[in-house]
Amino acid sequence: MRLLIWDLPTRLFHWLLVGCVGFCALSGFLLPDTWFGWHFLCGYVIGLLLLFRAVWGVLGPEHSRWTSFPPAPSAIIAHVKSLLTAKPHPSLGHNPAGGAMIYALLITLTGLVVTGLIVLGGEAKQGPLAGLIPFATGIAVKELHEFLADVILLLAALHLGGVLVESRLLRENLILTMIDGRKTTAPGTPPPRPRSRRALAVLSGVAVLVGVGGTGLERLPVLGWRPIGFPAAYVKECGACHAAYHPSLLPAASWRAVMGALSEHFGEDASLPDAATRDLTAWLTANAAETWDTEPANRLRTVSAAQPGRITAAPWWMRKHRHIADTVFQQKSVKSHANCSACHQDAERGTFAVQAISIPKP
Amino acid sequence: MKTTTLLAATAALLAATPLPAWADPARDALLADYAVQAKAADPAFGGFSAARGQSLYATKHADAAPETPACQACHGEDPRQPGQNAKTGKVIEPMAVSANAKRFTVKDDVEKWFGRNCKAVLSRDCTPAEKGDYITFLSAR
Repeated sequence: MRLLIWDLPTRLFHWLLVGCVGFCALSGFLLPDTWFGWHFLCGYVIGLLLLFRAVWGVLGPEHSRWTSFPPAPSAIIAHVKSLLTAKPHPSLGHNPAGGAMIYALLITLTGLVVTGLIVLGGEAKQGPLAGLIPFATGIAVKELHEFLADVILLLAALHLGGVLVESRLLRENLILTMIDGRKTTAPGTPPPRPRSRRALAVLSGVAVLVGVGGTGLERLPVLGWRPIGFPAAYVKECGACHAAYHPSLLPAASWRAVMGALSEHFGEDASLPDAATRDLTAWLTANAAETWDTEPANRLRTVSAAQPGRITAAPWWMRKHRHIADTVFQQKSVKSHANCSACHQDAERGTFAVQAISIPKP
Repeated sequence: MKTTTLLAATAALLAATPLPAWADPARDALLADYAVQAKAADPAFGGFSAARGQSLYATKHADAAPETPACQACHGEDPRQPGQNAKTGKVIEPMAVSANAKRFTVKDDVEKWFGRNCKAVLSRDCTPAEKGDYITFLSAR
């Protein structure tokens, strides 16, 4: 007799979580930055899945509830011992060791989502926390996010190992169980209690709260970013030969140095009347990197010692573009390192979001 | 006195010529001004030439910066098409007046670009005659 242990929502939760965590790990550890928009999206989905699971842990069917697999150290030790003697007791829902692993996985994933949202808000100035988290906090929390990412890989490996060992010892394919939701049970085993009648209503309530809260937070002004209009003279004079660079891309000292030597401007004579030079210098320094909290502004405050006025010589710029082939830069639609907007659709806003990168094929 | 006469003569000549749709009084005045300067520099000056302007536009100069050996390095072989800054990739609006009626209508801008770009390409300032030839060529395109 095979009883339904895992209901459809629990199984969907499990496999969606596997897919999203898998993709987040892939994009986080291996893929280039241009995939990070999907990393963020999968992170949001994981967050929603965890909220669902929290509700299901209270109101879901019997074996999904926290009360059905309390984290009891003595039971866990006893179960591991029985594994070592290769005679584990079958459990209807999670066995004690498996249940402990569920807590470890869910807590770690919650930590990943929370730290991820903080990094997203602070470093990328995106998401619901973009209005609240300073850049410095974002990159500090990123260390923790990366540590938890290592932890989740280890836990996932242990989880899978445990499933394979138990499947073998119990002669019950536990992976199949998570697909069709059924386990072989002794005759006369009563079917598990179904989910609470209030479960769907509570889920809807949580969804509304998340929607309202998220939208409210997203409406906050982004911390350390402001919309600015470029002066007409800046677009006309500077923007005639190269992109009208966002003023946040160089610190004030660099702007002063660049504007003080326009007759020798990267090998060209770009001299302007004194009044124009003075006005543009004032605008650039008033809006220089020091006055923004975006990632480019924070990173580009560290300039190249040899060429403090060349944005593309800054260490951070070099590091972020080190994997971009020369052929990408040489093609006609790009032509040079100086042509930010050839790939960065939001270059004029100074945000340089990963989602706004579109690299033309050479 | 002589200047005034020459200006008047140029104006009369220009007025007698059938004007294309993109003719612009400011550009005409600029050309007249260069004509005066050219005559002052060389009494034998006999008017601007689109052919000489075309040659100036296309000629490559071995001693120029490698990216900018000629006007057309940035402005393109066909001045009716947009050009592209040879160093930065920034798109430049067409030079030909037929494709970009705003060309050569603001004296300060024209002087600024001749001042910078003649040095980059020719390694010297352009003469008033060359400037007039250049504008005449691009006004006819």
